[in-house]
Amino acid sequence: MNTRLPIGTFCGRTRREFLHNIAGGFASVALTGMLAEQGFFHSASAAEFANPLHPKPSMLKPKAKSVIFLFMYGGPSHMDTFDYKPKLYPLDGKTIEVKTFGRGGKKNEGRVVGPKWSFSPYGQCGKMVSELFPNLGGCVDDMAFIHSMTADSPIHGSAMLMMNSGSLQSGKPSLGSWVNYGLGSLNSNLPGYVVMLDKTGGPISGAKNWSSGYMPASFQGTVFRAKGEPILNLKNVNNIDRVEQRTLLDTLRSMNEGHLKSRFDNSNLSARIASFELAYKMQSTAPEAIDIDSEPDHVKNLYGINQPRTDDFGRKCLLARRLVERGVRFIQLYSGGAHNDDNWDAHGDLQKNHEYHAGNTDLPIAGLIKDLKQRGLLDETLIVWGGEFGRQPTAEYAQGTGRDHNSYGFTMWMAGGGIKGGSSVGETDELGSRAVSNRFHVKNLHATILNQLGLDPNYLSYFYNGLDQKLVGVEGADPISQIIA
Amino acid sequence: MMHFSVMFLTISDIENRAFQRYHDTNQSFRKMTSPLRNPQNNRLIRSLVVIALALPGLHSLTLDAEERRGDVTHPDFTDAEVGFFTRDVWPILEANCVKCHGGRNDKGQVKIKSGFQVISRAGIVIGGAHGSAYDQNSPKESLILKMIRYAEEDYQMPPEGKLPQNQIDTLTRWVEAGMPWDPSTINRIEHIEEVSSGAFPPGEVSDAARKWWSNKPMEKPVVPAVPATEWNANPIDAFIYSQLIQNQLTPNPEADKRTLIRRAYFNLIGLPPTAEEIEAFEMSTDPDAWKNLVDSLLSRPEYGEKWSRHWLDVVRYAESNGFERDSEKDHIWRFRDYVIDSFNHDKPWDRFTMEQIAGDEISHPTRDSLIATGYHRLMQWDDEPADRLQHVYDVLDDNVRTTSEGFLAMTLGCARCHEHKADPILQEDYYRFMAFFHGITPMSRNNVIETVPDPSAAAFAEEQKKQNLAEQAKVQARLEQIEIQARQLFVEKDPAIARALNPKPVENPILVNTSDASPRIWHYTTEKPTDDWFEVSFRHEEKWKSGPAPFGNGHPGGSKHPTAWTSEDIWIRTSFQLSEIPDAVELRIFHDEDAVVYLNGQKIAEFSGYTVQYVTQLLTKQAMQALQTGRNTLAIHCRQSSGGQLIDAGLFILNQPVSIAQLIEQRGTEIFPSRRVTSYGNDLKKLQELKAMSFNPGIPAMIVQERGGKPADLHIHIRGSAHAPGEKVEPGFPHIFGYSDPQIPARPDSAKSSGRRLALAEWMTRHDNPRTSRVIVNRVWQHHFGRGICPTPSDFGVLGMEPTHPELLDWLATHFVEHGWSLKALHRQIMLSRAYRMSSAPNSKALAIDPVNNHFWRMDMRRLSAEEMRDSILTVIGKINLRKGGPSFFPVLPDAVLATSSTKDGKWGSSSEDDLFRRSIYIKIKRSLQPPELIDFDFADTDAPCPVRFTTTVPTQALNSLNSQFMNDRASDFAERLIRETGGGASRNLVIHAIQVALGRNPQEWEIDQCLDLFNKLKRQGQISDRDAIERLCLIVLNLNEFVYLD
Repeated sequence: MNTRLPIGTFCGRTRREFLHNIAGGFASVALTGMLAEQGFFHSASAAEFANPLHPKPSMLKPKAKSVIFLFMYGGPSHMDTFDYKPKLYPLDGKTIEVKTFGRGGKKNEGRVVGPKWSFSPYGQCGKMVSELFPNLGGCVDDMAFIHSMTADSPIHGSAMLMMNSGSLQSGKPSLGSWVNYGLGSLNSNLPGYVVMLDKTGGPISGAKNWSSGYMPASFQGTVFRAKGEPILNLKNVNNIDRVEQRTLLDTLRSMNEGHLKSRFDNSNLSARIASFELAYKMQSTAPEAIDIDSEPDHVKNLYGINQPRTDDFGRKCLLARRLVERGVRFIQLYSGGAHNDDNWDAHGDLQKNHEYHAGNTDLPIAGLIKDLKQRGLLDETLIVWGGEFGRQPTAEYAQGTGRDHNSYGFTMWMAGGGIKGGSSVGETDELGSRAVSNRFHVKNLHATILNQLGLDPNYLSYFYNGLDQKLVGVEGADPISQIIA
Repeated sequence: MMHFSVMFLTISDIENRAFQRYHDTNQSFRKMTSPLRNPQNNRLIRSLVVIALALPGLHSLTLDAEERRGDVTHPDFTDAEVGFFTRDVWPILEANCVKCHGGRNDKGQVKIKSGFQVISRAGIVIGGAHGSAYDQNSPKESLILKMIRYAEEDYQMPPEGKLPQNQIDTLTRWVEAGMPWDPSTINRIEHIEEVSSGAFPPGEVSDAARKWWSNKPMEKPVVPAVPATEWNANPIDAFIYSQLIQNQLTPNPEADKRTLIRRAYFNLIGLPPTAEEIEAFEMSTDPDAWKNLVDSLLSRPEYGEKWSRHWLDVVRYAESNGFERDSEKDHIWRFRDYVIDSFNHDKPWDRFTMEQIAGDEISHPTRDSLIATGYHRLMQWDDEPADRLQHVYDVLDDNVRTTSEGFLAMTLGCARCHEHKADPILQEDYYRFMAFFHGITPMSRNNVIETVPDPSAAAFAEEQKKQNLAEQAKVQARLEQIEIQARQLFVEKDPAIARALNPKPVENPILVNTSDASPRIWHYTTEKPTDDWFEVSFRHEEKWKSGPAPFGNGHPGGSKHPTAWTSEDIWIRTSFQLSEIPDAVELRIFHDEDAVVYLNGQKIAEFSGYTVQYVTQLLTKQAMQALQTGRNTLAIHCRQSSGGQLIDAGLFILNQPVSIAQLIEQRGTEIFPSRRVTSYGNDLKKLQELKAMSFNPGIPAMIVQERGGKPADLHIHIRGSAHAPGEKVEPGFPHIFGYSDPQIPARPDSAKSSGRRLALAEWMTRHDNPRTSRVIVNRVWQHHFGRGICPTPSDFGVLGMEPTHPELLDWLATHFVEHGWSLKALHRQIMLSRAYRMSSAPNSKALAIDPVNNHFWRMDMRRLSAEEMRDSILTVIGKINLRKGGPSFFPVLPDAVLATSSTKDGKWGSSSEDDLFRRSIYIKIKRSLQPPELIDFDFADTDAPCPVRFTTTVPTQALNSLNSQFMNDRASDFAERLIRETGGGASRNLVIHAIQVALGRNPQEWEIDQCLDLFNKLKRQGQISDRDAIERLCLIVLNLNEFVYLD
């Protein structure tokens, strides 16, 4: 007979306790605990409760503390970027039999679009990389490629939800929520889960992509901007300055403390008092975190900041590093937003689309890897690169180079955070049309990320709707051991 | 209160219980009049049990694989065969299959995916979710081989990739040889035993399970007599008090009157009382003051606005579909208004239930009952799913879950893929329940809107009709004026037109007939012909194929036997004889995207876009000149790019006068400036539209629809996959409750719907249904006391929590049914109790015994909901707009929020200044874009039923309520009101008034000092105006804990 963890057990919390929290008001005691630590409160009632955002001991030995997920929204073409397909070039223009499934439905044949860029070997490992990524090519010895990714949907709406939350439908917590739920936050003055969007807009389904689903909103992603006001409402719309604000908060606090006197047992009230102090601190820590201008020029240059093509994404990558340094657990950066060619969704002109998006991101991402490495942070920071799916070897239309979506096989890569640099796992067929060996599902990717953070993907669960819900689903999924160092 | 605990049984326990279970199961099978009686089905059910047990993290008890191992007999294998297995076969299985199918990981945990074990011959023979993997009669066809061959998309193993060919060959040889196996492991079976303490074995119907508190029939409990007279008057109090004294607790004293009136206002209408209302209540000496207050609040229309939201949380109400387009659920706000009105009219809960589930199938459907069925359209819906079939069932699943959890507090959804892992719910129960909904037409972009008759719209309709006729006359007059002029100008210009307007009769007007009249054979090709294909002299057509028109794959109005055309282009030719050139000829054509028509080698017409019916066009003067006596050739090239091909054409001598309208449209530019022709065309279209308008008194609404009287068969989905049908099921109620299957009279195909939902609704609203009344009574209690008597209001099963006061719950539920399922009577019953009026003050002794108030020794404090907070603010600033009903309004969203959308400005609308001050219930609910005023404060998730809202306290809330545009604008509005009403600046009077208006009480002296001190400090610190200082004070007041927390 097998022994298992008792049902609903997670990090010392029992299911019953949790249910009570839902039923009686999932408190806020979180905050009280957090502030008690900082010397705000010494109330006995606050100490009785566990704080869900408090750093928690991990389940396994963690290799990474933080994740930077570089989301190439729209679906980059694997055979034009990192999945070298020499036999595809000479087939250009020929109509061949190949099963595909994309926006245009299921097809049995199509006109091949030969890869539009040449590949060259890079690094010690000799990894073949497309000329789209000359800078990233220099980092291949730190990167591990998964060439055999598969997903359940080749349609953006549901595929985005799958990559972000493991489900084709919305309402489930996203990966970043799971990470913060499992590990807590290392910095109470910043959100533990940060999302940075493309300047052209958010991805399809907007906030559903960083939603906490059935978990409390404390675990949802916070949208961060690399320029201007980093977080919504961080600054008062009437420009109330800090001195004045302190005065206001002092009044608010003493009035609230007066109210608290006869209600001393209610930790929700003290938590709410505390939340204003925490917000006040956040107002100074968040702008400091995004103060990229304070970085020396050689660092800015590494990320391509101040070059027109790379400035925008470079700033976000640099900001991601600064947030990692400040203990933010999960950071997601979108390359591409809105619809069509505003992202990697190259249905029309593949060349134009991919040269644009790769050109905007190659140098900044390479800069991020190098910068983290030189600071000794790469070991504890897991970088994940990829889109919601890949693209087909054949053309979508009668004319042009555009490729339709492909969830049968695509490439993602990881770096840092205990990942085996210079390695590759899995392969697609000679056309790149589908994964054929060592196939991995999005769930395996999620399992790998959780695993590197010290969370057991098959035991990290949250009781909801009569079930111990897991990011990797009831059947579970194993991490991709081949790329783990 | 019973504690849930987990325990691991010893082996002997398991054996005993397994035996008992097996016995029980057979008993219950015998009792049921269901397909389960068939032994074959029995096997199906059992194999599904195996799956359930195989899932990690479960606590199911079964030994099916174990039991069935005995059924498997193995042939004797020779040493050579065993050697072949050990040497060549096992290493392949071990490396590729065992990890997920019976193997153990480094922690010693076993994994049995799909209930299938590859660790023994017995395991393979028994098989898993897809049945036995070995076909004894024809081993070649064995499932295990089909899987490794990767022949079909859904049947491929191992998942990491196809095995090398030589390994596939080895395994094929091995299976064909009868799957020899090492005798020492030939019968090995792993089983996971994990057992929850639950009072009964999960996933099956047993006597023990029938005794679970929420499965039992309800009996009205005897009200206890308690030793405190005043706690005997209301049965609620008697139940509460008796439990308190049993636990050495005493109830808190009654709260003060100000607290009570605020509690009642927020609780019933979601708005604060004014200072004057509070004062009047405090001063009143009427012994019925409290009762009168409750009655008056219950009769206010704001009551429905407040209580509807609790139900909208449960049914995850939203006004868009989610996913890529997040398109509108048109008119769905009528459902929201329906819920509000139902609460306001105290619609009996059984009727309310009936209308939502089957408002179209009841004997006399009404406007309201039809709108109520919008209930079935509230879920998220992907208009472009990767797997259409599966998504149809995902949507149905969403509705099954919402219905079973919302109305019945039953997590039926857990049994979609396997038997329920804790409750006595079979997988079959899930599909029998789904079968009630199976006739519903799947959601679509446009076919779910219907006009619902609305008698109250009659006068309006009459008025509309009058206006319409007047407008028609106006347009008609404009048209006639142009037509008279055109007639004159045309005749002057072209004598042929005169003839066309008044043609001489012809005996046989047909030159080339279209296929809707009779068949006609054309020559055709789909391969590009030579350039001269349309010339008269072209003769290769004889080498083309020939077939009857139309060409394509549809027959809208045409012959039902078209000639198949599925490629992009088609070229067709035909010819006709002419002895005399007619006066006027018409081309009649039905075409796909682009068509070019040649007559005797001359292009006579060109069309773009596709048509949905035949269109006619009078041949121009030039085209007429192409006609010749003798043989004439008609040639057409048509193309399409996205399917739905169709082409057909004909030529007719004009026999009827051509209409002047047609002439103006087609050739008007010969006599008029084009502007005039366009406006004529527009008028013509407008007239048609005006004439087509119907004035039945009705309104458009998104409601449920079915396809006919006979829904398609529904099968159990093996492991929840719509692509793996198992046994067929008929509609039926969950077995645990012991009701016989519904008798649903068969309806003809032509019926509007199957009547199945009506049968379900009738069962749900039976007086003796053990769930419906308990569930709603518990929800109502929850929203009065902060938590339900059963704290998990959507789960009355083993994984939920048990009620703290089960007898009280049953008393309330039975009383509720006896009193006509009236919610307002229930509110009265509860609010007139002493228990409801207790203060929320702490009490050290009670806190020590019962810190979480399980026994209701006091009222719990609560934070206002997001809606209550916003509505309170709008009320105290004096600007709330209490207009009722209608489409939702769009609050102003910060740019930063709009930027998170993938579409420009999130396709978010804008509303009038007035509307921005409407109550929060009327805020637009778009799935992908939600206002921070709601989501920052724990608004209900829109994608799944929300039985209890979270109450989180996080710094982003503080940032919102101190810094946002909305809050600062409202602080400014508040300042304006205070200045207006106190007629002065930052004064003591103003401070007093601020506290009175916002908190409904007089400030204490220290509070006034604090506020005046704030004014002074602000002025000392900067050059701040009086007005600004007052605004700051207002911002603080609206942020006070006392403002957002209720005692």
